[in-house]
Amino acid sequence: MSVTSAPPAPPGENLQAPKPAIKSRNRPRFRGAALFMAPSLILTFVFVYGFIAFSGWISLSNWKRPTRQDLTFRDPFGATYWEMFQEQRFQASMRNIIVFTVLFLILAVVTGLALAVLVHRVTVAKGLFRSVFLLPYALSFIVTGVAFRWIFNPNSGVNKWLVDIFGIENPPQWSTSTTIALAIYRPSGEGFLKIDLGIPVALLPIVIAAAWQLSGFAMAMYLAGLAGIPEEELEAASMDGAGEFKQLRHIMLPQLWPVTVTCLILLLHTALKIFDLVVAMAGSGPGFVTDVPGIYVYDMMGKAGRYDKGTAAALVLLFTACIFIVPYLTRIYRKERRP
Amino acid sequence: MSTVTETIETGLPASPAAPRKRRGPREPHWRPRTPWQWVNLIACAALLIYFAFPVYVIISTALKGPGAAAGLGLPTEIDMSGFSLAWGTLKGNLWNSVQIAVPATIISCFLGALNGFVLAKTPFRGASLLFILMMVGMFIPFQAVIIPLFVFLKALALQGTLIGIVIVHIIYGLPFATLIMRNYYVTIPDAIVEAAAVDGCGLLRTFFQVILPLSIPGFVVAGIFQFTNIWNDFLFGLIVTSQQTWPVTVRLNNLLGDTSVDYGTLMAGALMVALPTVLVYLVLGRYFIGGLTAGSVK
Amino acid sequence: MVEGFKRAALALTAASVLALSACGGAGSSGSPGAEGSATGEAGGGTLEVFSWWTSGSEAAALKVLEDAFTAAAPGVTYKNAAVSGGGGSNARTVLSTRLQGGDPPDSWQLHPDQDLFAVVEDGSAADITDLYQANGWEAKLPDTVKNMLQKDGKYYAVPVNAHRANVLWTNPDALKKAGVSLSETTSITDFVAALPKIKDAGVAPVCLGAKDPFAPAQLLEVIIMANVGADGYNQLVTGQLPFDDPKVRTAVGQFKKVLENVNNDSAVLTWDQAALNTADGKCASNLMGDWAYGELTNKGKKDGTDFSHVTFPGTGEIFDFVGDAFVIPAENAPNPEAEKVWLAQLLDPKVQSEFNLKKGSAPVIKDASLDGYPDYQQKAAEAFQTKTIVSSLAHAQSAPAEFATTYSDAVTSFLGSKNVDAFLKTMTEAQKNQLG
Repeated sequence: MSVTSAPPAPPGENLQAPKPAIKSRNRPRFRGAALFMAPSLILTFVFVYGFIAFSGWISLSNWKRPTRQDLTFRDPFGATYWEMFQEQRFQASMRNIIVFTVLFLILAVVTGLALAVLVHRVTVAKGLFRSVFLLPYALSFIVTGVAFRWIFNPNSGVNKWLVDIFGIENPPQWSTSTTIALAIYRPSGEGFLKIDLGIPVALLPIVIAAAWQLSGFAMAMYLAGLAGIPEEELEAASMDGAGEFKQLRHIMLPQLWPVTVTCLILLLHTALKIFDLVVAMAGSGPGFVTDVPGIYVYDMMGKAGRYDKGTAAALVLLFTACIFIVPYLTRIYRKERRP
Repeated sequence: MSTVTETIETGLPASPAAPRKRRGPREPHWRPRTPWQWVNLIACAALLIYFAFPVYVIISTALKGPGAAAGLGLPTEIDMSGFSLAWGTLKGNLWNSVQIAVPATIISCFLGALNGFVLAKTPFRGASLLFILMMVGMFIPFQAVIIPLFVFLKALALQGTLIGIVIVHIIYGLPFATLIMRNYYVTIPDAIVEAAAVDGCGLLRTFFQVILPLSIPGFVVAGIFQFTNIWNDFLFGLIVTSQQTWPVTVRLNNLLGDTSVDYGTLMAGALMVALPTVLVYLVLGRYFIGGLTAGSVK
Repeated sequence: MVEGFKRAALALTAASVLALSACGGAGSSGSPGAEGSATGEAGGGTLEVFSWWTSGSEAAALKVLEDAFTAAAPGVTYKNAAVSGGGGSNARTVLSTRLQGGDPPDSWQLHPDQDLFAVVEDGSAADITDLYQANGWEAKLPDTVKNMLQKDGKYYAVPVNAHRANVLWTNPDALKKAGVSLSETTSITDFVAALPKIKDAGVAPVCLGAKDPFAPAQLLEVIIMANVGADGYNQLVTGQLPFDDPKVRTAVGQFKKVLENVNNDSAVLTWDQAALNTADGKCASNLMGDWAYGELTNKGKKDGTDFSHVTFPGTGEIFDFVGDAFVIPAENAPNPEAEKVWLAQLLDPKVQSEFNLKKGSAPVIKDASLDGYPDYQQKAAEAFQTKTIVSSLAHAQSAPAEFATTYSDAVTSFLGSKNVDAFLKTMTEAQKNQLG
């Protein structure tokens, strides 16, 4: 996806530097450019921000029964948020979604990149490999969840192989386990914090299942990106004696940075809203070890009828998303403002 | 203007002066010749097994027929009635899904390309801020917006219609289509756009005649993303449509009853529902063309 | 090449617009109730029925109701708008949205008792007392059930079935091997004491499908019932008996013991898999409502040989009722005449008989014939008419939705922490805050 507008730099010199930033002063200015975006922006503002604002209002209101709409403000202001933050279930689902997102992003992006490089370079059956790796993305999360639930059942499934073939005596208990590994803090549960801050072992099969499903898409993005890297650069580097890994690190990766960023944002969106997969694989889990905000919002609004809590949780999730993507977005913003 | 179009399949054309033993596959030979190529092939084969295994589980369950026991074993006998049961349930809604996903994908990708071009190549004050705002809002769980959305659509008499849900998917698909296309266009050199401006092209002409032909890889990714998300969407399909206009995902979900669970038919149905998406991937996969812009500045 | 792309882009856009306008025409006639309005004696139009019965035995049972309606009102088109998922959560989500938007279906399914009262309180459900009087239904329904269908003397819903939630499904071979016998008079303490014996015999004493949150919630409520009795239970779910009562504490302690004797993969097992595992001999017992009966027989298991059943120890005189009922909207009703005809069919004795046979539940009225009913269902129908009926908490019947969810969440927490005090504390607080 990137291209040089100058003759290829002498190898060895600019291998580390990313492509030169696009200089604002060279960008042509079309009159009325903003107008072309106006319809999209208006629609977004109404359908996204307008509704978010309405959700915000609901989260501060007294709407606690589904069909009894009561939009007066709850007293004291923001009581729903306070009530929600103290719940063990909510705390667990926030911990889980952060752990899940980080692990999943790493696994999916690294796997996607590896698949792309492998498929890009493979000498035979490229189309077959590419299709099989992308195929999981076409499936519905529900069936993936059911299939992986059977695969990770501690009695049958993959544990059977671990025990029978590899002779491992105590295979992990996967999603039936209530262990929180690598905990940095285990509160007593009497205070504000009611959950262990660590990695729930039960989330691991879900991370694996989600990465299985989405690595193919990451691969597709990276393939498109790799296709834009001119072969001349790689040839030149290889003629200079750069090995496979050096080529990867110094030529490919820097040029794949924009793709990586886009990929991370799209996968982040999928990760934060994960719902069907978790429900099909493990539900909320004993002690809420696999609960995620998606399920929490669904239960609050669909089962308990607490619209105020449901929207409050949705907004907290939105805020969490902002924490992940604001660094990237402000970088663009600052780049843009450079004269 | 030399455009060396290469597909992933063929790589660069063989040049007679190239040395025989090279470190990477530059020539279109099908047999691996260097150790790295062998490693590559073996790695691909191993990953193939890993990625195909759960699909095998799904297919084998589907072949066990209705009333299949949950589990990983091979079917003791092949029972295809799950497929015919699923087909009978799903067929009415598959066409709905097509009518929803195809226009929504095409339109949202196209508009996303237009937006992406504007954001990447034609700065106006506040462009980045608007882009940021467009993106951030997308992270709200859609459960929180369905009530106002329903009321809004009902007021416009679009609730329950196919147009209604197509519009919803376009609106909620636009930000990400814009993201994909914008980040793709950022990597196209400004020089190309400048040249067009110098030649007297306005924004639309530049877009249609210069940018659009170069956008194929971006469209491939955006198309895959949008089609998959719209085709597999459940929530909007449940709320915004009426029974006649249900997409196939709602019907598929109905195969999972509450007091009777039929995994065989469910898996068969899921495979059927996945088929159109797979076809889209196969079609789009042929377009992983690269290097279109190589040398085009000259 | 460039011209080609331009043409292609224009063609695509044109095609999309054409497709859209074509679809728009076809789809826009889909909004419910748009076609017909009430014309006299249910003469025309449509009847849209909303439920979560979409597959298998549920769908077959619903078809019985549909056929009865179509026979009674041939001019009206019946529309089955069932949506499954989450024990009705998906259907509830759609329903709430539509009620908010002033676009209710003609009739929708819900549970009696508190589930019904929620829609009565906000005026969504129509008063159908006149229907009750015209058909003489009051005389046919058990008193306890009648109280779950009316508020302030007015009736709002028509029940269709009665499932029993306190049934223990057993594996006769496993129990024999362990030398344990369970009967209708076994006490809960004896049952809990027998669990280690079964475990020593080499089979999991209890199968629990804990991936579905209602399964452990149901198990606990039944254990509580065994300790405090029907009256105590009714006081518990109305907040009159606090959760930290010593008897309830004992019950939770017993629940903890049962959890120690449960299959090790319960967290990833669904309720139906747990029931099937019991019939397959992987465990000795499984508490589940009698919808498990249909599931087992449909998968070819035989009552008496592969599995057996007994009322959960300590609850022999209690019928833990999980039922379904239908209501019609109070405002914006699309087709009021047809709706009344629909409701009238539901308690017709022949319809009741056929519906419940297919559904695997007990008819709610006394005079429905039980011919052709399997042995278990006959016993269940009899029990419904003779035993003390209480409303299930795990299925959000005996308490408002929020309290039921709090209960279910507290049980999920307990599954992880096994902390009895924390559970009782959460529930007592919830009783104070949520139960008026």
